[in-house]
Amino acid sequence: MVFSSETFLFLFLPLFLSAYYLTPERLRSWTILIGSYIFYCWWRADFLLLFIAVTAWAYGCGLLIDRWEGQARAKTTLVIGVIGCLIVLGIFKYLNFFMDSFAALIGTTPEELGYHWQLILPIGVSFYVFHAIGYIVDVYRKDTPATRSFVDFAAFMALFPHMIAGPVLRFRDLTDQFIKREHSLPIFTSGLYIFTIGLAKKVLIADTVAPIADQAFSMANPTAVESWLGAIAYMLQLYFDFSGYSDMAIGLALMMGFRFKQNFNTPYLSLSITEFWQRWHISLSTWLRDYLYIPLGGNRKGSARTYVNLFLVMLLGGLWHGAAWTYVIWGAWHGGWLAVERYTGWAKKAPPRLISLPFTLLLVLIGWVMFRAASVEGAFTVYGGMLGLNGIAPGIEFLANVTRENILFLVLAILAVCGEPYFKKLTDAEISAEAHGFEVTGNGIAVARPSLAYPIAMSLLLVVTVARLSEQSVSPFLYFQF
Amino acid sequence: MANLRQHTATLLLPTVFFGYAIYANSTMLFAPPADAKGGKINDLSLSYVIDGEATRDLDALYKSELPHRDPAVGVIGNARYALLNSGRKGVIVGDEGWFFTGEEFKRVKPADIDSAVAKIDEVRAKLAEAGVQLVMVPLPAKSDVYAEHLPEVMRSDAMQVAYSDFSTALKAKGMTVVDTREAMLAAKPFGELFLKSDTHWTPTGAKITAEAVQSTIQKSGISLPSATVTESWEAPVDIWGDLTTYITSPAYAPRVGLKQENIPIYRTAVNADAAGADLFGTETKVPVMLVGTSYSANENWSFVDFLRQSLTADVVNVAKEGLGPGVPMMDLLAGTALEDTQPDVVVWEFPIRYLGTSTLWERKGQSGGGGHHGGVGDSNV
Repeated sequence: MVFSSETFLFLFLPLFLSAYYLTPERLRSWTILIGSYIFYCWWRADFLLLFIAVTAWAYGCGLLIDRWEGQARAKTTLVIGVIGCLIVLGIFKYLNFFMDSFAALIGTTPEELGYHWQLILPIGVSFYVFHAIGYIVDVYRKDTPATRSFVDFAAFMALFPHMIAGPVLRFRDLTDQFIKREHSLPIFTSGLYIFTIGLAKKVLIADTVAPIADQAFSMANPTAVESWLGAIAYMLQLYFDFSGYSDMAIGLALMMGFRFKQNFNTPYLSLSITEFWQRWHISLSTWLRDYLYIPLGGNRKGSARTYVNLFLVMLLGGLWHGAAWTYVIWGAWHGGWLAVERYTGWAKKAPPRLISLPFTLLLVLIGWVMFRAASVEGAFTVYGGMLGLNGIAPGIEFLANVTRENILFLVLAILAVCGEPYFKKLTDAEISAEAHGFEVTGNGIAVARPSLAYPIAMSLLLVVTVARLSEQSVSPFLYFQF
Repeated sequence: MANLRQHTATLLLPTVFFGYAIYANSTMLFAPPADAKGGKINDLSLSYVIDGEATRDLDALYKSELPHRDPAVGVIGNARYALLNSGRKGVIVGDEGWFFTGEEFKRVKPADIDSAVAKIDEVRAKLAEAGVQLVMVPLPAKSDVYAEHLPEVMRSDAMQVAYSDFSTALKAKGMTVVDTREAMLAAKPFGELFLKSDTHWTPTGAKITAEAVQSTIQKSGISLPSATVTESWEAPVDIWGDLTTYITSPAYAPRVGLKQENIPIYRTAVNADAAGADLFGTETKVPVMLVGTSYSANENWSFVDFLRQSLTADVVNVAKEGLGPGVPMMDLLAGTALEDTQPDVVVWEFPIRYLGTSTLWERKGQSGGGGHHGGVGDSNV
C-alpha cells in the first residue's frame, strides 16, 4: 500500500487510527504490529514470512549478544547475525545481478550457465534489513539494550510509516517511545499537518513533473533542451517524491505519538557534495556512517584510507539502492567527489556561494542522470543530449508528451526549493508538535504559532491534493523500488 | 474567544479529513456494487488474496468510486483548460476547439515501416493462398490533414512523411493501396473530415474514404459481384468526443464552452436477392470483408455503410475497437471468419499513427494495440 492511495487515505488510515486509539495503551504495540503487517501484506502476503523471519533473527541475535556480553561468542553472534541479514539481501536483491554480470563477463548468459532464477524483490527489504543490522550492531556496541519484548521490536521493525521506504531508523532512537510516548489532539493534528504537506509535495509536485523526466529518459536521441529539462525534472521529482514520503512518515508517526527525525534539510542548497550528504536522506547517510564508514576505520587510519573509505561507503550505498551498474557508478561518482572534497578542503571551506552552489547542483544532477537511467548506455544517451549532440530544440514527440502544466509545476518546484529554508520548520516534528500555525520571525524563518489561517490553508491544501490525486491515474513512490 | 479559535484550529483539519473519510466510506458501502469497477472482489480464493490481487482490486474500487472522483476530474480539468489551454497528457489542444491525440506526434522510424510492411506482406500472402485479395487503406493522421489548427510549435511533417513512406513501401510490394490522404485533402473544402473533439473521422471523411476505396478497386481491375443497395438515414446522435474526455469530464465540459459532436447516421442495406442469398438464407458468402480499428468498427461513423454504398456490394465488418489495426487482422487469420464468409477482397483500414507501436500485432493486457478510448481519468499512455 502506498500513502498516496485512496485506499490508504480513506480506508486503512482511519481504521488503523481508530483501532490504535481504542486500544489500551499497554497493548498498542500489538495494534501497530497487526496494522503494519496488514499494510505490508497489501502488496502480497507471502513475503511477510521473510519479514517476520528477519525480525525474529535480529531479535534472537540481540538476546544472545546481550546474554554473552563481553564474551567472544557475542562477537561471533554479531558476525553471524549481520551475515544472516546480508544473505537475505544478497539472495533477493543481488543474486540475479551478480549472476548476470558474471555470465556477461565470461561471454555467456545465465540461461546457458543453467541458472536463471527470476526472484521477486520483496518490497522494503533494503530498509528492514538495514533496521535489523542496525539493531544487532547497536546491541553489541551497547548503544541499546536487547529488548525482551518481541512485540515492541517487531512493531518497531514493521512500523508502517517507515517500513517500506524509510527513513532508516534505529531501535535505540525509538525504544523509549515504545515504552512511553505522548498523545494529544494538538500532537495528532500536527502530525496530520506534516502528513498533508508531504502528500502535497508528492502528488502536486513530484507526480506533475514526472512526465517530463519519463519522456526525456525514454527518448532514443534527446536534444539538449529535452535532456536538461528531463534531468532537472527528475532531480526535482525524486526530491519531492522522497522528501514528501519522509514527511508523510514523520506525520503519520506523530499521529501515533512517535517522533522521527527529519530526513531532508534543504539538500539542493548545499555548497558541496559533503554538505549534500549531510542534508539528503539524512537517516541513510547517518546509518552508512555509523555502520559502515566507522567500522571501516573512518578517518582514523590516515588520509589515503579515509579517501578509500569514503569512496567505498558511497559505492556500497549506491549498490544498496539497486542491483544495477547505474547505481554502482552513481555511488562511485559521489564517493569520488567526497574524497576529492576531503583532499582539497572544499568540504570545510567552499568557494563563494555563487560558484559552489551551482557547481554542487551540477554534480548532483550528473549523478541523478545515471541514477535514473535504465542502463549505463541510457545515461550516456542523456549526457550526449545535454552536450547538444542531438540538436538543441525540443521535438514534437517531447512537446506532445509534456504539458504546460508539467512545465508550470517544474518552475513552481524550483521556487519551492529556493523558498524552502523559510518553511522547513513546518515539517519538523519537534517544532510542529508545539503549535499549529506559523508566522515568519525576524530572521525569516517560518515557525509554528496558533492561528486559524494555517489550519484553513492546510485543509485547502489537503482538498486540492486529494482532488489531484483522484484525477491522476497512478502515483507510485520512486523509493519503493529500492 | 482565543480558546475557541485554538480549538477550531486544532480540530479543523482532522474533522475535514476523517469526516470526509466517514462520509465517503458510508457512500460506497451503500452504493450498488454493480457500478463498481472492482467488482471482482467477491473472489476470495487463497491465491487471489495472497498474490495481492484482492487488494489491487480494492485499490481500483477506491480509485474509481469515491464520491469526490467525478467533481475532481471535472474541476481540475476545467481549471487546466481554462487557465492553461491544455488537457491531460495524451491530447493536444489546437485552436477553435480542435483537439488532437498525442499518438500522432511521433517520428515513425524507417525500421518501424519496414517491419510493418513485411508483416503486412505476410498477411497478403496468406490471404492470397485463400484466394482473397488485400486492399490496403492507410489513413492519414488528423494532425496532418488539419495541421493548420495545431499550435504552431506542434506542426510537423512527421505524419505526412510516415504516410508517404508507408504507402510507397506497400506499393513497392505490389499491393493495392488506396490513397486516402489525397482524397481527403481534395475533399477538405467541402466539409469537415475529422471531428473537432474526437480522434476519429466524420461520416463525411468515412464517405470520402469509401469512395476512394471503390475507385482504387475499380482501377486495379478487381471485379466484385454487384448488388442493389438501399440507403437510409437514422436520427443523428450527440456524443462527447473521446479527446474531450482528456480535457475534463462530460458533466463539467459545458462550463468551459465544450460541446458534444452531432453525428448524422447513414445506413446502407444490401438487397438480399441481389446479394446472392439463397431461398433459405444459408448462403454466407460476402464479397468484401472490412478489417480495421474503431474508424471502421464504430457504427457512428458509418464507414461500412458507405463502403457498401460505394462498392454496391455487401461488406462484412470484422473491425474491432481499441486494438489497433494489427490485432483484428491477426484474429481474423486465426479464426474461421475467412472460411465462413469466403470474401473476394479484404479491405484493411490502417491508421498510420499506429506504426511503430509496440502492441501493433499482439494484445498486451486488455488494452491491446492502443487506441484512444480511455475514459476520464484512465491512463492515456
